[in-house]
Amino acid sequence: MDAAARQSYWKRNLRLMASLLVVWALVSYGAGILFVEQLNTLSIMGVPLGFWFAQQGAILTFLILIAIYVWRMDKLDQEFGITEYEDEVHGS
Amino acid sequence: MSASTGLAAILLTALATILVGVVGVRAARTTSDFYVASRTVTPWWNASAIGGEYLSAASFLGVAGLVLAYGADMLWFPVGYTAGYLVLLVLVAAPLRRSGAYTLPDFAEARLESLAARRTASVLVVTIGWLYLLPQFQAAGLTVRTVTGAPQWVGPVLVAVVVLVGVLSGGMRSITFVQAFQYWLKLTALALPAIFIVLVWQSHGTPSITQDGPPVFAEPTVVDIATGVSVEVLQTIAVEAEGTVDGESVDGPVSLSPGSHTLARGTQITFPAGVQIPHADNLTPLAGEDWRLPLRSASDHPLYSTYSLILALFFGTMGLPHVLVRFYTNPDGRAARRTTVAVLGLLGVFYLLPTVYGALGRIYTPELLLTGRTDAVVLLLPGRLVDGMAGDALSALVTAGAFAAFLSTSSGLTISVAGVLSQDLIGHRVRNPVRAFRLGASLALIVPIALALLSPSLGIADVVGLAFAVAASSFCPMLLLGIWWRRLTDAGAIAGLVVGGGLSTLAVLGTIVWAPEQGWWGPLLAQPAAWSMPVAFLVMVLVSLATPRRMAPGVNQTMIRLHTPESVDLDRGTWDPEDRWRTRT
Repeated sequence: MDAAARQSYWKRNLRLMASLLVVWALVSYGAGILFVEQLNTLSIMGVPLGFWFAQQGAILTFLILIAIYVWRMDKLDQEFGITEYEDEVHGS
Repeated sequence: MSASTGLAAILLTALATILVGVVGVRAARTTSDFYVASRTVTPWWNASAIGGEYLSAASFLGVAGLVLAYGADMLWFPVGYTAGYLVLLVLVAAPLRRSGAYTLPDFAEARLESLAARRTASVLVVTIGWLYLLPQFQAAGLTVRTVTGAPQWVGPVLVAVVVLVGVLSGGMRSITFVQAFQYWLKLTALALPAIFIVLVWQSHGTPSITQDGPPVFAEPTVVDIATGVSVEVLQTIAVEAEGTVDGESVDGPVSLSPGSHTLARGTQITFPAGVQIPHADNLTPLAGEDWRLPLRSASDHPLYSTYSLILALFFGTMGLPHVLVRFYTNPDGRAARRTTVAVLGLLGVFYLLPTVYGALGRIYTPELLLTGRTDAVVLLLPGRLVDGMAGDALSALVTAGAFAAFLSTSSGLTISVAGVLSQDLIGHRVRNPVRAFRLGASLALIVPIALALLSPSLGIADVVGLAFAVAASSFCPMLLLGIWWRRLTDAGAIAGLVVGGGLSTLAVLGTIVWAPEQGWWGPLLAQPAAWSMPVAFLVMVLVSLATPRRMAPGVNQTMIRLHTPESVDLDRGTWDPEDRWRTRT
């Protein structure tokens, strides 16, 4: 991999990270603090579940974000012909 | 539940743990096996093991207890526990793995090329490890006591013995299997009883979880006081008491006036239905609206407290020594990423459950607000709602799950703390590395056990939250700046670690010893992350900028090594963490 390819690999890696972290921050902030009042009005069978759903939803969102990261990084690695194998990682 | 069923459950868990460990021992042959399982663990096994290690007493018992007392705000704990993984994965995991460092002190030395930085990091790893072990042992004491009535010290000692056997014999490889097994045990132990509990609750016509007023006893309730407690009564109530109330021996009807009352150990009190529940002094439970809505916590500044807790949990995960080392047990970077997805899935499934216990505990085990032992709700609820054999079996199951939680988290932490103690802090005094490791493991366990027995009963999840706060204000800045900013110097890192780690540790001690309730001091000390983390970042950056000559000479090479996939052929420098062991053994 030459310097130019390395730089472009690096740029795309950074862009992916930045966008995922923005979504991550928005979800955490929105679910717990911005939309609190709206969430509180949601209730199921007399149990006010809005906040609970928001929190579980947040966990799910993180899961999806990580899945996206894994999928994109695998693709990116493939594009640039990077494969990581045990014996190349470390001589252990 | 009878004491013998509970005891059997605890002993079975301990035995199974040792057995699974012994099978794993056969596989452990080399140093690398011992510390990182030779990086040959498949993602699925590894994910189960990380889940098993990560779900500590705080998750298994603590979250439900906090929800019982404080309601919706406490749901931040599960969210924070999972959210931290995303930052860890995206910003830290891959570079750290490529650095070749096994532990945080290794990383400090590799990146900053300074032994002093390494030592500072070592001290902090031990501090955080002890802070995290402390609640595990408190919870073990609580569980054994709740289930069998044995004295408080039995639980911690039992956990320590099993952990020592496992850690000393098998190392990381056998621990990986043990912890994977324990994740599934924990999940089953929480999920199965939860199904029964919800069914029983529905058969009762789904009584409302959130009454409008303060919590009351729904039916006549007999409460045995197992540990002396001081309670706050809000309106005069008439009860039947047998034992010692306010220092006087009583047997018969007693009227409790508003104010504080002490109930001595062994006292039995019968409350009639509809009476408002007195609550333990050290706990201010929320009621009605405040319980079910977030940002209504009892402290004066709920918004600040919430933000600070979020920061601590989100950024503290990367500084937990036992979490980081797990990323090395993967064969390569791709497997490490896969592992994280699986971990988050497993954690997400688990965290659906504690809320159920906490919320239904409001109805069925309200006396925990009086005894202050809200963390016991998970242990008590199944036996309370399901009668006979089935109830006994379910209680035994949650007890086994709780024990698995203490064992797995303590093993992981003990390995990390013992590794650091033996390599960096006592290693040069004891020649034989194996003996140094054994000594380290014993030390790693003895100190928190002593603290657990001496310190007052703190909320399990609260103490773990404090450990996260210290991690977020020390290792988080070191890792993020170390990986992403080449001008970080050893002087800057050490200054930041000392100031951030020191201030947050002082705040933790302040909360435990002084516990101010009113004004700004309470939330500032109870949730230090929001100020101590920025301070640590600031100190690291400013001191680094002031000492540009101290930049590590090999920093360019190190940065390339951190940020280029392993298979790309480059000059990566010569630093190899295994040299340390090769020269020693």
